[in-house]
Amino acid sequence: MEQKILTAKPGRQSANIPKEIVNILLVDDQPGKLLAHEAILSELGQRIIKARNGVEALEQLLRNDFAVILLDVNMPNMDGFETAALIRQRPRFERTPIIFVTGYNTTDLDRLKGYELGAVDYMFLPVVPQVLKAKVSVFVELARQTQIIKTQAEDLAANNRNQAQQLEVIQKLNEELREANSELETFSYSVSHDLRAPLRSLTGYIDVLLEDYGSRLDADAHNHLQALDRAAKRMDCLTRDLLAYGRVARETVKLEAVQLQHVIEEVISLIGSQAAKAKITIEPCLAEVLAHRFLLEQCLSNLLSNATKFVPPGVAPEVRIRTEVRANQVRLWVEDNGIGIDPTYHRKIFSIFERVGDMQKYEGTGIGLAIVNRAVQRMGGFCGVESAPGQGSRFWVDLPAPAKPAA
Amino acid sequence: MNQPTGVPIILLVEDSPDDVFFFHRAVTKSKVAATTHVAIDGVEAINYLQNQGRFADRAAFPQPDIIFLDLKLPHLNGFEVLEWIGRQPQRPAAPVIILTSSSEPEDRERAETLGAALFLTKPPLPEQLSEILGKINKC
Repeated sequence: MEQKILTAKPGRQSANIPKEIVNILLVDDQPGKLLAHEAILSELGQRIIKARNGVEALEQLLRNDFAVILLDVNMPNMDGFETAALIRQRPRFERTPIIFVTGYNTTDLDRLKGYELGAVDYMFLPVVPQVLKAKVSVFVELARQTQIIKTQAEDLAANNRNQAQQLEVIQKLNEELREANSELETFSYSVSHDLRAPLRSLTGYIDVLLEDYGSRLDADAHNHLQALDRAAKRMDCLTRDLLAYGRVARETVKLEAVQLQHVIEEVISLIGSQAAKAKITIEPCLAEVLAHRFLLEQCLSNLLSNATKFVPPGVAPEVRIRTEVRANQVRLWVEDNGIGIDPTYHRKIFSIFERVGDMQKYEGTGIGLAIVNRAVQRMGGFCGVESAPGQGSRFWVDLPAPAKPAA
Repeated sequence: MNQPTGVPIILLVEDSPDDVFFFHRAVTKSKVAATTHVAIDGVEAINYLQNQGRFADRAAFPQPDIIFLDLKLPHLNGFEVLEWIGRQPQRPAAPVIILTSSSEPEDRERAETLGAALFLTKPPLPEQLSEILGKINKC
C-alpha cells in the first residue's frame, strides 16, 4: 500500500521522498511486546523509537517529532490514558496521532475516554501484524506528505521572499531611473529657458548697439560686435540642437503610418531661407512609412538642412528626395549636389560633435546627424550615406513599411 | 487716465529687466500707440488684475486690453496665473499671449489648454506686436 502511494508521486517530488524518514514512537512496559511491534513495523523503513513508560515517552517527544504514537493503555504508574493527556497538553503534539494498544476487553466508556484524549484508533491484543502495519503506514504516509508540503511551503515562502526582495530592488532601480529621467528633463528645461535667456539678451543688446549707435562706431567696433553676435547665435544653435538631441532620446516612441509628402513639405517650410535658395525635387508618389512624427521631422529637417548647406561656394544647392520600397522596408533617399564626404568618415559623421574634412568650413554644431541617427534607431530603422568628395551625398534612411491591409 | 484716449493697455508679466526693455523697444518699433504696465511676477499679475497692493489705483492701473505673460516667473509661474484667470467667475476679457523662451511643445499645449490665445517665442518682433495690437485697436 505504501509503495503504491510512493510511486504515485509526481516526478519532481519523488527524489525527495526516500529522504523523508519519519519517526514512530512505541510505548509499552513489556520489552517483548515492544520488540514484536518493532519487528512488524520495521518493514515500513521508518525510524522506530521505543519507550518503556509514559515518562520515557514524554522525554522522547521533547526531542523528536513523531508521525504516530503506538501507546499501550495498561502500564504501571502512568497508564496510557494519563500519558496521552500529558502529551496533548503540549501544543506541538496536539495533533500527533495516537493508536492505543490494549489487551483488555475495553469498555465503550474507556474507548470514549481514549477518543476524547485524541486517540485516532485502537489496536487489540494480540496484534495482527498486517493490520498494525497497515494502520501505522497510513499515519507514516500522512506525516511524510505533511513534511513534504511543509518543505514546499518553506521553499515557496523563501521564493516569495526572494521575489519580494528582487521586486524591491527593481522598484528602487525604477525609482532611481525615474528620478534621473526627471532630473534630465528639468535639466533640458533649464537649458531651454535659463541658458538661452542671457543669450537672447546678448543678441538683443548687440542689435540695439548696431541700430542706435552704429553710426558712431568705427569699422573695427562693427566687426567686433558682429563677431559677438555670431558667437552668441552659435551658442543658441548649440543649446537648441542639444535640446533636440535630448528630446529625441527621451521621446516616447509610437509608430504610425505617415505620409512622407506632408512631413517633407512642412519641414521645408520650417527650414526657411536656406531651403528657399535650394532647388528641392520631391518625387511624386512617395511611399508611406511607419514612423513617429516628431522623430521623423527631426530626421528630415537635419538631412535637408545639411543637403542645402554643404555646397561649394557659388553652387546652387539641388536636392532630390525619393523612396524605394524594399520588401517590408522603405528606403528614403535625400540626395544633394554638395561637397561630398570621404568614405573613411561615412560612419563617424553620425556620432555627436563629429565634424570632419571640409564640413568644418561650414557653420554647424556637429549634432544634426547624431540626431538623425538616434531618431532613426528609436524608430527601429537604419541610416547611412553613399558619397565621395566632390560627388554629392546620398543619405538614406530605412524605415519599416506600414502593414498592408489584407487584400 | 489712459482708457478714454483709446490707446490699448498692455499688461506685461515679466521678471527679466532685459526682456522688459526689449518688449518696450519692440512696442516702440511696432509704431502702435500703447501703454504698457509691468508686473514682475505671478503674484503681481494677479494683484494688478484685482487692483490690489501697489496697483490699487484703478485710474493709474486700468484693466488691460491684452496680457503678455512669461511662463517662468517667481512666486507664481505663468501657468498658475493662467489657471487663476480661468478660475475667476468674471473672467477678464483680455486675451493672454504667452511670451516665453521655451519652444517645448508640452508648454505650448498646456498653455493653450489653459486658455492662452497665442504662444510667442522671445524676443517678440515689432511686426508681430503691430499685428496683434492692431487687432486689439479694431475692437
